[in-house]
Amino acid sequence: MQITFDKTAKHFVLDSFEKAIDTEGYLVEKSNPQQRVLTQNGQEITEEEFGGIIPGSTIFVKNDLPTIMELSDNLKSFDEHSR
Amino acid sequence: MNILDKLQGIISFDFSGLKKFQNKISLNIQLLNRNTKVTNQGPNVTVNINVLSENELQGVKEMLRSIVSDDKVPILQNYTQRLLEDFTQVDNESESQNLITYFKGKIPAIDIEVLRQSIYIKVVHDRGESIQKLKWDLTARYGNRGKNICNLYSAGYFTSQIKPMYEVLLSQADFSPNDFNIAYDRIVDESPYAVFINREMSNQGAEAEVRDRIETGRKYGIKYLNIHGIGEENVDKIVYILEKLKLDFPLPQEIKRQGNVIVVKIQF
Repeated sequence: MQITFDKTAKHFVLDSFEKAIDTEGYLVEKSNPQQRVLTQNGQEITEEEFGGIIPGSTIFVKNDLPTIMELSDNLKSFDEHSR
Repeated sequence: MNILDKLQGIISFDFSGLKKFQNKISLNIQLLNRNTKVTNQGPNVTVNINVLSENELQGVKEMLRSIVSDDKVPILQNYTQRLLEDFTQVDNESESQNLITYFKGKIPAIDIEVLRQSIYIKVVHDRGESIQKLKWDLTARYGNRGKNICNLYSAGYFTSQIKPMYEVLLSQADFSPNDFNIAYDRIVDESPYAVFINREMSNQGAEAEVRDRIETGRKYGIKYLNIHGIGEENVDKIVYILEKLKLDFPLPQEIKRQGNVIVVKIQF
């Protein structure tokens, strides 16, 4: 199963997970806009950088190359464990 | 439950034409200026959130949450998904794997990460596509060291210089991994101030290359240049260059030589 979204649906996807974009363009908790959403590495995420959501404890990821490499490694490791 | 079953319970639409794709369906969520709720090209199904009812929208939102938390499936933006697939394919290719396997344990783990991404960046560049964002991403995470490794790999120096340098150092009786670490760090950290003399260069060509790099360095306020050479032939070329440059650059030179691996730092 592969689920993707394009940039026109970005806000809808974020809203599905109770997240929003603040006035400075960062992902924040909808219920507490002062609280910015962080990546696993503790980085804030701008709307432009938002790459998607991955399983775990619902992790928000960036769309940059280092994140993609980590994601690729995580999925490989997930595939190996589920075999 | 597969994605089609989930959608059938949420969106009022005739999904019967999609049953043949059952387990192969990829779902893309979009907001389109069309009246159709669902369209497909083979197993690629697009759900248009622009025309869904409030109940349907809530159902799709709930489905997305359940896909991540229960089915353990990521939900990625199209660009991220494409980049992930492309990166994984390049990363799995034997040419990438061979180089990474060779350097694992010889260079720091973080440099291995950078090297894997540098390999990908070069592949994208060789396809004629833009690498501007990818290089920016790399530098944003790994700083100048990341950028230097990327440039060194792109110029072929990991295979033409760094790997042979390891082999030459390894063949020496008193080899210690620390010798390689020091030489490697010098190459990476100071690569913008380095020139690598290779077998294809004539003595005159090598001298011209060094003089050219000195001129460029001067323009940018750089005060030194590291000249690297591996192998007897290239060491001889560097000796020739030093002889030729002696009159123009009388400042002391720092020469580090271990067998047939030489680095000369000239100041100007």
